[in-house]
Amino acid sequence: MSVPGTTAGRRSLPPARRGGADGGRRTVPNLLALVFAVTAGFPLYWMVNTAFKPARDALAPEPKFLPAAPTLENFRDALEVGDFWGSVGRSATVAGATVGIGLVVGLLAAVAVSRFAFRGRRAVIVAVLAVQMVPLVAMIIPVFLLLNEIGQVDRITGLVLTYLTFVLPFTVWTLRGFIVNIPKELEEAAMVDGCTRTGAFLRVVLPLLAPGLVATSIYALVQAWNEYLYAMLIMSQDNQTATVWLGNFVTSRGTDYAPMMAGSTLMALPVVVFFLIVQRKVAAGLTSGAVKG
Amino acid sequence: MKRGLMAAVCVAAMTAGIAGCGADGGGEEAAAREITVWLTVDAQKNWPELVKQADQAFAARHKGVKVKHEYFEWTAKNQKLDAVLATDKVPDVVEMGNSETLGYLAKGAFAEIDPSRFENSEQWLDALRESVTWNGKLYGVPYYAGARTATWRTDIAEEVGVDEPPADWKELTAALDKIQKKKGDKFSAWYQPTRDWYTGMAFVKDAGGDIAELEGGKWTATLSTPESVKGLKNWKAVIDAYMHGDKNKDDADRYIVYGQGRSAMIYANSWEGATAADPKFDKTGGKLAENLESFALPGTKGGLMPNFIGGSDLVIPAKSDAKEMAADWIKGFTDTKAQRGLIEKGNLPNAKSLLAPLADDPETAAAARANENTWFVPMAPGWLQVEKKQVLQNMLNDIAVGKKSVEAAAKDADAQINAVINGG
Amino acid sequence: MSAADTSIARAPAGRPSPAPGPDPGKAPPGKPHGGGRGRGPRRDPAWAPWLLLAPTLLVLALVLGYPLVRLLVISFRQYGQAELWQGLPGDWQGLANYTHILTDGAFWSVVLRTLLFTLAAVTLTMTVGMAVALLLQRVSTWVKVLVNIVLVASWSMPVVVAITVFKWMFDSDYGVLNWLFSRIPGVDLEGHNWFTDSTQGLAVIVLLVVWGAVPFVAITLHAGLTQVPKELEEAARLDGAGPVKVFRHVTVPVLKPVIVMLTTLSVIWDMGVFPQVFLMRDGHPEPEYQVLTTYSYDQAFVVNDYDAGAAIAVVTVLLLLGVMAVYMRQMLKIGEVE
Repeated sequence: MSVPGTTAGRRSLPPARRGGADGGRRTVPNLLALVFAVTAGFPLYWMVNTAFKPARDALAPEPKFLPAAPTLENFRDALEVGDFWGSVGRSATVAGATVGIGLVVGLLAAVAVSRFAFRGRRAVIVAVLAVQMVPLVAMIIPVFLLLNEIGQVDRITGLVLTYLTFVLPFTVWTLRGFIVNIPKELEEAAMVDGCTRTGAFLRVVLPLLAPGLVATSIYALVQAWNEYLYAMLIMSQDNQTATVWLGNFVTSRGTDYAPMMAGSTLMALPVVVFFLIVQRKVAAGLTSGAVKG
Repeated sequence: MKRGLMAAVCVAAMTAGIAGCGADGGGEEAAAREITVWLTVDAQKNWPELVKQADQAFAARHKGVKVKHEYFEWTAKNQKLDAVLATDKVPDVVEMGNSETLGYLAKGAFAEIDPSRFENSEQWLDALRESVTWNGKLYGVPYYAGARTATWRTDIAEEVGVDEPPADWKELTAALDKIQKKKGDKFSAWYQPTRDWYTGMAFVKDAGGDIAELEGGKWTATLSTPESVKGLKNWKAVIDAYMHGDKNKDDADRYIVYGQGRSAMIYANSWEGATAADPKFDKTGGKLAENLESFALPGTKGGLMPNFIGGSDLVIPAKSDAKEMAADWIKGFTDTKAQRGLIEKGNLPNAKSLLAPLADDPETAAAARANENTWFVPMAPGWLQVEKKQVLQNMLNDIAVGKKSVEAAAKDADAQINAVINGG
Repeated sequence: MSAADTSIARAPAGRPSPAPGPDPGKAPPGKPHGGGRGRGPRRDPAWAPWLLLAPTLLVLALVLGYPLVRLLVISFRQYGQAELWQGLPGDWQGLANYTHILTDGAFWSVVLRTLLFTLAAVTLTMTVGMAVALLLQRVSTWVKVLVNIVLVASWSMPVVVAITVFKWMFDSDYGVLNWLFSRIPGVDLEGHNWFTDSTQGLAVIVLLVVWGAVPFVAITLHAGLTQVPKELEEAARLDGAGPVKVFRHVTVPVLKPVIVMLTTLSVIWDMGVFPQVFLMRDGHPEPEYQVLTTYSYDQAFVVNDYDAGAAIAVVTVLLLLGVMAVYMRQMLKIGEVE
C-alpha cells in the first residue's frame, strides 16, 4: 500500500469474491452497472448515432435509435467545413505542449513542496490551490490584455501558457500526493550506491511516479483538448483549435446537428483511444499517491 | 461628457488620417500588407462566393495586400471585439448587427466613413443608415437587411376553405380561427415563440405605442402607456388563441419547429420558411416545400404590421491602421453586384433602389412590401444593454405564460429599461 | 496569489536559519524519516526548493497573478468599455462597487443559488462516483470494461458538445427524452419544456455537470478502493460487521484523503461552472438561472461594467476560500504526517 503502482493490479481481484456463489453474487451488481452504463452512455450514444444518420433524420419527431441507412456523409460534410485537420493539429500541439511542460514544471514544484522543508511552504501550497478558485470567465479581459502586452495573442505559446495556469495547480497537488508516498529510504539507498541526488531521483523515484504522471497528463490532456473560451478569445480564425472549429456549425440560421456530431465524434476519438491505452495505469495512478495520507 | 469629447476628437483625428489614438498609425497605408475582415459565420456558410468576389475586386486595386478573414458566431463576436479593441491589433472591417452598433458609436469605437465612396449610398435603407449614424455623421456601411414576413401553408388554409392570402387583420384572424378549430389544440394556427420580441414590439408599434421615447435628451421607457399596453394585449390575444406550442422557447429554432408540421403559420425572417422546407427539416414529407406562401402581415388597424428591419452593417474600427483599404474592401462587398448576390440568398439589399424591383417578383414581393411600414429600436446609448439583458423577452414571456398581467409586466420592464437606456 | 507573494518575500529571511529542529526528516535527501533526524548538516541550500518552484510560480504569477491584481484594481474603479478601449485607468471609487453588489438583493439570491447548485452537484457527483466505484469492484470483467469505456468517453467529450447534446435531448419539440418518457404508460411529457420551471431546469443542468464530473471521481475512487487492504475488510467482516459497517469503518477512513481531495476539487470546479449554465440558456441565462460566474460575466460583458464583474469575481474567490477553509486544513495534512 505504501509503494504505488505495485498493489493496485493485484488487489483488484478481491479474495472475498472467490467461491461457488460467484456467479450469483455478481448478477445484481452487473445489472446495476449496466443500468448506469446505459444511462450515462446515452448522450454518447446519441452523438455517435446522429453522426451516422442521414442529416434529415437527425431531428425526426419519432427518434430513430439506430441509423436505418448508416452514412459517412456527415463526416464528409464536417471535414469540408473550415480547416478541420489544421485545427486538430493545433489542438494536438497545444495539448501536447501543455501536458509536457505541465508535467515537468509541475513535477519540479511538487518535489519542492514535498521533499524540502522551507519557510513559506504551506503558503505556496495554499496559494497554488487558491489560484484555481478564480473564475476564469472573470479573467478574460485581464488575461487577454496581458497576453497582448507580451505579444502572445494568437500564438500557440500564449494558449499553452494560459492552459498551464489551470493544469499546473492540479499537477502540483496530485504529484505531491504521490511523492510523499515514496519512501525516502529508496532514494537514500541509491545515493549510498553512488548516485547523485538527481540521479537517485531519476532512477528510483521517477519510475515509481509513472502512474501519477500518467494520471495528471490525462487530466491536462482533457483540459487542453476541450477548452473553448480562451481558445476562442486568444486565437484568430487561422489558428483556431478544434473546439472552436466545432462552433462553425452554429449559425444564425440554425445549428447543423448531424455534421456537428460527426465532428465531435472525430474529436473525441483520439482522447478515448489514448485514454483506453493508459487507462489501467491511470486507475492505479490517481490514487496510489493520495490514498496514503 | 469629457470622455465623449475625447472619443470624438480621437475619431476625428483618425478619420482625417492624421495619427492613431493609442495605436501608432505612422505611415499607415503604405505599411499595411494585410487587412483583417471579421464577418459572422453566415457569410462563410451561406455566401462565401460573395466574399471571394470582394477579395478579387480588392486584390485588383491593392496588389499584394492580403485579406485575412475571420468568421464568428454572433454570441462570441462582440466579446472578442471588446477585448481586441483595447489593443492596437484591431480588425479593419467588422460586421455588426444593426442593433449592436449604438454603444460602440457612442464611445467612438468606429471610424467615420465617407458615404460617397459607396454605391447606392443615397438610397440606403433608413433602418440601416440610422444604425450607423451618430450625431449626424456616418460610421459604417449597410451590408444587408432582413424583413419579416408571414408564411403559411396553403394546404392547411385550403382545408378550411381559404385560398387567398389574407388582405387584412380580420381575414387573417378569421382564417386562423377556422384552422385552429379544425386542427385542435395540439396544433398552432400561428406558431409564435413568445420570446420573439421583434413581433411583440411590432404589435406595440401597431397600436401606436413605443418602447421608449426621447424627451429633452433623455430616454424614457413607454411600454406602460395605454397605447403600448393595448398593443401587448393584442399580441397576447394572438398567443392565447393560436400559439399552442412551447411558450417558453425563443425563436432560435422556429424553423425547426415549423418543419415538424404542427403549425400553419409563422411570422419570421424571410429565410426561415424556406429553411423549414429543406428536406433536412421538413418532417411532413415535402408538404412545406409544395405549399408555403408568404405574405406581408396585415396590421390590426389596417395597413401592414410595422416590420422590424434587421440587418448588418460593416464598420471600420477607429484604431484600424488601414482604413482606406478597409473602405475599399467594403466597397467591393456592398456594390450592386454583391447586393444582387445577397438578394439571391434570401436577404434584402441595403438600398431602396435595389429593393423596389423585388416587389414585382412574387417570390420576394412579401419581403419587399414589408419595407413599407418599418420600425427600429430606440437609438439610445444604452439600448444594447436593454437587448442583452433580455428585458423585453422576459416581459413577453411573463405575459404569455400568465406569470404577470400585461400592465404589471410592462411597468416592470419600463423600470428595467429606464435603469440602463441612458447609460453608456 | 497574495499568499504566494508574501511567501516569496519571506524567502530570504528563511535562508540564514535552516532550522534543523522543527522539521524533522523533511528536507534531507534520502534520510529515512524518524531515523534521519538531525543526522549531519543539511546540504540543501535554502534556495533549492525555490529554484524548483520558480517555473510554476512564474507562470502562475505572470498569467494568473498579474491579471488577478489587475482585476482587483479594476474592482475598485469605474471601468467600462470607454476606459478599456482608450487605455484609461478609470476613476477610483473605493468600495463603491462592492457596496453596490453586496446591498443588491439579486446578488444574494445568486449567491444562495450558486451554493445550493454546488451542494447538489458535489453531493451527487461524490455519491454516484462512489457508488460506481463500489460497483466496479463487484462486477464481471466485461461489465467493468464497458463501464470504463463509458466513463472515459464521457470524460473526453468536449463540454460544448455535451451541452449541445443535452440541450437537444431535453428539447420540448424534438428532444428524444420527452419522447422516451412518454412511451412509459401514464406519462405524457410531449411538448414538456424542462426549462420553464427554473428548479427543473437547474436540475437538468446539475445532471449535465454531474454527468461530466462522475467519470473523474469514479475512476479515482475505484483506484483508491483497489488499495484498501482486503485483510482489513475481511477481518471486520469476520467480526460480524455488515457491509455498511465495513464501508464506514474500514473503507472510508482509508479513502479519506482521496475523498477530501476530490470533494475539494469538485467544490472549486462546480462553483466555477460557466458554459453549462451559459450555453444551456442560449447565452442569456434568465435571472432565475444566474449563478455567480454567469452573473459576473453579465456584469462585465452585457452591462459592460467591468468593475462590477471584477468585484463579483473577487467576492466569489473569497466565498470559495471561506467554504474551503475547513478542507484546506485537511488537504494540508496530506504529506505532513511523516
